[in-house]
Amino acid sequence: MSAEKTGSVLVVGAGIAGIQASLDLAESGYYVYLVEGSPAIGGTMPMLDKTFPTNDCSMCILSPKLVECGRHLNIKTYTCADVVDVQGEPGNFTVTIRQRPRYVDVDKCKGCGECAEACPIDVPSEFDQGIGERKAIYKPYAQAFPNAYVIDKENCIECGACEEACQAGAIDHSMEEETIELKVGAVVLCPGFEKFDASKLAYYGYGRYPNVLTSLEFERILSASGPFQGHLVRPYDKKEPRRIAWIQCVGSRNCRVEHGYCSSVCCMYAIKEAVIAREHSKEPLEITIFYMDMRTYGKGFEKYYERARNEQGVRFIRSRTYEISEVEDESKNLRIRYAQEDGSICEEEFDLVVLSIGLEPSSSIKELGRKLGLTMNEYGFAEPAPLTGVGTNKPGIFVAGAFSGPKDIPETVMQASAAAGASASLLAEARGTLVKEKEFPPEKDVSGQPPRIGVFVCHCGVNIGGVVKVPEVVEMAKNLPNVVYAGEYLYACSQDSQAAMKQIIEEYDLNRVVVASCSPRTHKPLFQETVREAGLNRALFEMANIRDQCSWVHMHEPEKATEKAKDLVKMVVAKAALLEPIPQVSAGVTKVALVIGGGVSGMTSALSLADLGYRVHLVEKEQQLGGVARRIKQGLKGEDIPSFLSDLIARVTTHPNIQVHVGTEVQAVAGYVGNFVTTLTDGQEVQHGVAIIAIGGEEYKPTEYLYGESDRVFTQLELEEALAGGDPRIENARTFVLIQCVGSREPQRPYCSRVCCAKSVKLALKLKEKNPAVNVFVLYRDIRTYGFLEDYYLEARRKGVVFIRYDSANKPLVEKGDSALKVTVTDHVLGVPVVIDADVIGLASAIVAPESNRQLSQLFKVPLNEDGFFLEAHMKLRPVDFTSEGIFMAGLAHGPKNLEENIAQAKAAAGRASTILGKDQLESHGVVAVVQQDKCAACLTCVRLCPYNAPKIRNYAAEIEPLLCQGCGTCAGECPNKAITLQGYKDRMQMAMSRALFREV
Amino acid sequence: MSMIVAAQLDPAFRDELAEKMKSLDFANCLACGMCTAGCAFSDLHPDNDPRKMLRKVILGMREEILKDPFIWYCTMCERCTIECPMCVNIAAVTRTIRGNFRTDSPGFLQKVVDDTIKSGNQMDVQPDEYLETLEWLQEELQAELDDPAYRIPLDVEGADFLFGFNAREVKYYPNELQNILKIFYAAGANYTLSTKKWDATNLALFSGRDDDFWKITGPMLQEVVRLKAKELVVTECGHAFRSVRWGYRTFWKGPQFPIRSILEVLDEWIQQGRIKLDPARNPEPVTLHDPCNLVRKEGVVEPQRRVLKAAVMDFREMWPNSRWNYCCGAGGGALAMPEYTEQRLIKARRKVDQLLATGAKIVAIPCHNCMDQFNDLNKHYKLGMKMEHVCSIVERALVMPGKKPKA
Repeated sequence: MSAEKTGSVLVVGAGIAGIQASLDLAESGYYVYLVEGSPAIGGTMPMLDKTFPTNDCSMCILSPKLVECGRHLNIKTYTCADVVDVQGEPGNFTVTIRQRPRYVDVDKCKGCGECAEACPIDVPSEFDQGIGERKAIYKPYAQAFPNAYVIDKENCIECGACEEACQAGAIDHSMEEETIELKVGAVVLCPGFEKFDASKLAYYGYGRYPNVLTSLEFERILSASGPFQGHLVRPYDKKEPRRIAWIQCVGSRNCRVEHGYCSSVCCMYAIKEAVIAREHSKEPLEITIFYMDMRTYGKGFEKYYERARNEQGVRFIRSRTYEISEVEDESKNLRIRYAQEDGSICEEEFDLVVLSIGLEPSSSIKELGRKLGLTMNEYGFAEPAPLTGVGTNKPGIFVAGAFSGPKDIPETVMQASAAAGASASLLAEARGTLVKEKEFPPEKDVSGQPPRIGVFVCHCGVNIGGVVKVPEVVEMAKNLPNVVYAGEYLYACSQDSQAAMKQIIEEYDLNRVVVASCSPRTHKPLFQETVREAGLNRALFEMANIRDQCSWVHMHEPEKATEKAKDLVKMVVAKAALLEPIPQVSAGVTKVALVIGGGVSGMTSALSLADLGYRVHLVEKEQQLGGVARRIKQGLKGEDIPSFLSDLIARVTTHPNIQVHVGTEVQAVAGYVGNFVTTLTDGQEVQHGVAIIAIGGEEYKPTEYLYGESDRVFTQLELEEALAGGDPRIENARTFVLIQCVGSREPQRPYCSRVCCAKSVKLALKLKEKNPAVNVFVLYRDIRTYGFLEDYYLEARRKGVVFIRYDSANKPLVEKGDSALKVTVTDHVLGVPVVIDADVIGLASAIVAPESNRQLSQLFKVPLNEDGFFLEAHMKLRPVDFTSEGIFMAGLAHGPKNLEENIAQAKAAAGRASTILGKDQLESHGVVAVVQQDKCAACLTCVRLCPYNAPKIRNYAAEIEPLLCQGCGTCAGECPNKAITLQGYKDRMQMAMSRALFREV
Repeated sequence: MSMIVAAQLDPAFRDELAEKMKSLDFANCLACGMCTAGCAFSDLHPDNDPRKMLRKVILGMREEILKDPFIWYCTMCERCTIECPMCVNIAAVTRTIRGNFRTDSPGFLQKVVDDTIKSGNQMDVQPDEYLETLEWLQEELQAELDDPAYRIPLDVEGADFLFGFNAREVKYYPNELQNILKIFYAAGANYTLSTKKWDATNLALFSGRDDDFWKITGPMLQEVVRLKAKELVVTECGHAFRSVRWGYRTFWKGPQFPIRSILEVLDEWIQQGRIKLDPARNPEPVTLHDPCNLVRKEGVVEPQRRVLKAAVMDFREMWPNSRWNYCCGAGGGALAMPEYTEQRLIKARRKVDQLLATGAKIVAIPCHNCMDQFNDLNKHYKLGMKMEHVCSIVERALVMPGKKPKA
């Protein structure tokens, strides 16, 4: 291996996984090349309407990450680009990239859309799944990064209309393909998935019947940015449907089309679409979901399902439908014939049928895997190396997201952070060698100076200038108080305009800057950087949005729009006069981590961070490391867990950077991100910059099914131990009954424990392997062998394991018999009781949160959910973070997961933690709240309200820690004595703005 | 059955079945219900739910399976599991159970099999009777074709194809055989009939006994080799066609040769212009039945449609059709099981509804077995339709070369 490693990482695929991995790596001190095949980053998430289980708007939660990723100094994004080759070894890879021509210069294009207006060619929009149209020159979606158009040469007729329309001169039809070579130290592959082609299942009529849609098409229909602006209509006749059916497992759990695996996400997205559809519909909507097993196994999913079923009137029918036929009239409604579980046949009519299509790897993904020599599974997905979460058979190449199997967004994000962490560990010695840091001149002291405001009004091509009379706005601005300069710009954000802005700030000695243009969401950071380059504090900048909130919405009323633009500028100028510099608060970082919990998750997090070169304190309350994994003998893929565990423990205990504290717990916690001081029960005081909570979970002790009364009733873990230990009760048994959902999916514990179905299937297989003659019955409610675990379920059926489904209303009955245990359960197909004389009963008992979660949640002031598990900052996009910065979670402490998933999450927590430990200084977010201490009555309102734990009471008054404050303003709004102000949003600023609005110039 | 006692279940049954089937795929079953909904008959009379039958197999309910009426009710049409996502084949399970586990072969199913083994044809036609019939047909054709030199080619070596047909065409419907031979004449076909083994049918396809099956179909394939024919062409008989094709794929070890349905050959001749048809001679609306063995199982879907479109004025599809068509209700040897006539006629309701919806006057039925069922339906449900083989319809439209069309 070569001596020096390269401090950069290649990330392939810019969906949510690629974006997250890139951001984590760039924040941890590595330069990132992000390569994306399509013209924009974002992947599938921008197409989705809402996300389960929180019903957040998908675009809204993604958009900040798009902006952050797009603007990051240490992320270089290549769109319209493919990885052609990767050569070399871990630490030093040479990557060849084929950059396809975009025919639009990304640096020149301002995304104004004039070109598309002029383009005469309509093409079905890929983004809208072919329901809507786009032009031959187009931007994939409104919030796309790069915010630039692209020409689809296949459909372009080269008429030149776009070139004529483009005032920025960005269009270049002569662009050619280029080959780019990059040096990187590691590779993260997250190319995502493709959707199953539903027309392959002719019996569902997709492509023939206009009212049969795919789930992704339905997402676009629901989306406010979609072809019908979120109005729920059928594309066929624009009529509102009254009866909609979803059909599950279209292209999943189907051996005939070689998609034997479960796509893992469709049950939840179908419920979500059903629930949202009801919200979108003015009239009552009848909703039916046809399914086989309802796989709502993720955190919060089971409750979502129960709510849909019990409160939102979604009808769930357990049946795989045979075919869809079209009604022979103009309605083109659809008829579905299906069998109920008792064998009776029903036929129903629907206005719309949505096919819940599965996920599959694209052919280009398979090709990439082959090229890199990755182990791929039989379905063409990447096969991660066992018990690594994100590793592959090729050292230095990591995977994240659906590339290694269908998965939902939180798991994708976890894997992305984990892959980032794993890459970072590999390249620890090269950290910080290739990243760039922006240098700014020292800030001018403007205190005491009278305001000198410059106003820069943007035409945004014709986006603003075509409606608003920009010269009039400029003339008006010149006459406003304190304004010493006003000018107009074709594109205020272009590089030449930025250079001009800097020069004018110097020339006119400006100390406040106003830009009247587009949205601060996308452009404020850019302009703030420019004023900083000119020596001004970034808080001395303000924006007026005269495009999104003016010219775009009043495009047919230019006169009024011009007046409104003037008003907006007047108000912002009035506010600008009152702007004050906000000093950046910064603090050093203690480059030490505290990991609480010495199970597999905690140890994995500790090792990852230790390998990155940080010191780690690992605290375990038991006398030995290992946690619940000590009781597990075999992983779901048959891995030897005891030897994995002993190896892990050995690596942890011998690692020079890890100090293990066994028999110890956390007693007190003080400080905040970057600088915590934690006291342990043994009296030791530990200083650390971050904390990872990985204290695991416990197995529920059942009170049902004669557990504790008969020594032949085992929990799952007990059964595994007894099986491995050669227990005669197991050795001599002929008939086993495994009962699922013991303590899970019950009113007192309304969540799915996620791992037990696969675990029971594996145990059943193990029993059959030991002695094929034994009888194994698995009594279940829904078999939830998601993803490739479905293969084990198939194997178990083939090996003769009998699966019998029961309802929660009609649970199996376990009684003591003469020699054996008598189990009675009704067969779900034949509808008659089955009486089983069981020698051994295994109970798939729930995973429950340990009582110590509550204590730790109070010590760290971090929340638990109603089931007692730790609650993450965001269910989708921040699955290992707490809202309080610097504290992370991993493993069962977060919720039930299998070992492989826990390992991924543990690495993710380490990856996230390294974004803090990688910095020498932490800076405040800029706009923070401050307390006027003499006005504060220490009433605790702010302390209770703050989601980020920023306020604390010190000396009978609140104090807000600027490093923790996110500037949300909740405390300032609620403080009863107005003791808190949010900098940049002071009352007098708001008053000045309203005064300015009504003042004549 | 009011209760299942697990201790009395026989898990070995499953393994025995798998061994006989040489496949364990039936154990993949998810009990999802697609087959129950796909079976056109599961809601028409009791004991006709494929999922329930398979569940008994999977649970190891040997005793129940040994008396399950489903096994004989099932028409083995394969509609239920043609798209089974778990690759279960109910018809194959049914057939294996019939032939390897059941001893209660109903009606005269086994008798026909035994007779066929003995005489070489299912109607027990003796060689002299066969030759006499052909001789008589030859005379008829000489007259009809106005060609005294006309000969039916018998045991001609090296022909383009050996024509395998159904003993019923000799025994009961010689006029239909005459139609076929007339078309062959018009096309100038280089073919032969065999004097030794000429009946391609095989009811062991339904009785399920593989040894019987091969005793019947083996000689038919051997005959192609003996006569050095380039291919085997089979008459409009779904199960005969399926038998020779399935037997060829499954058991045949001899030289390779193609096997085609006469419908494919007719289609080719029409495309090539070797036979000319005048659709005006078939002005009435015609619909087409898709026999399961020919269409769903052996994939002959389009040729018969092209042929009919060339031969009739008004062709109407029934719905559903092709691979998705409903079985006539008499598949799986049901016509040889008089004790289940009631169920057979109840099942036919699906087909009757389909037929009536088309408004057709003529039903083209490219299968002898289905034909019998349709003739029964015509009587039982008073349909008043004309039930015909495709060749009869083609013959009516046939424009003889150099001859004036019939008046």
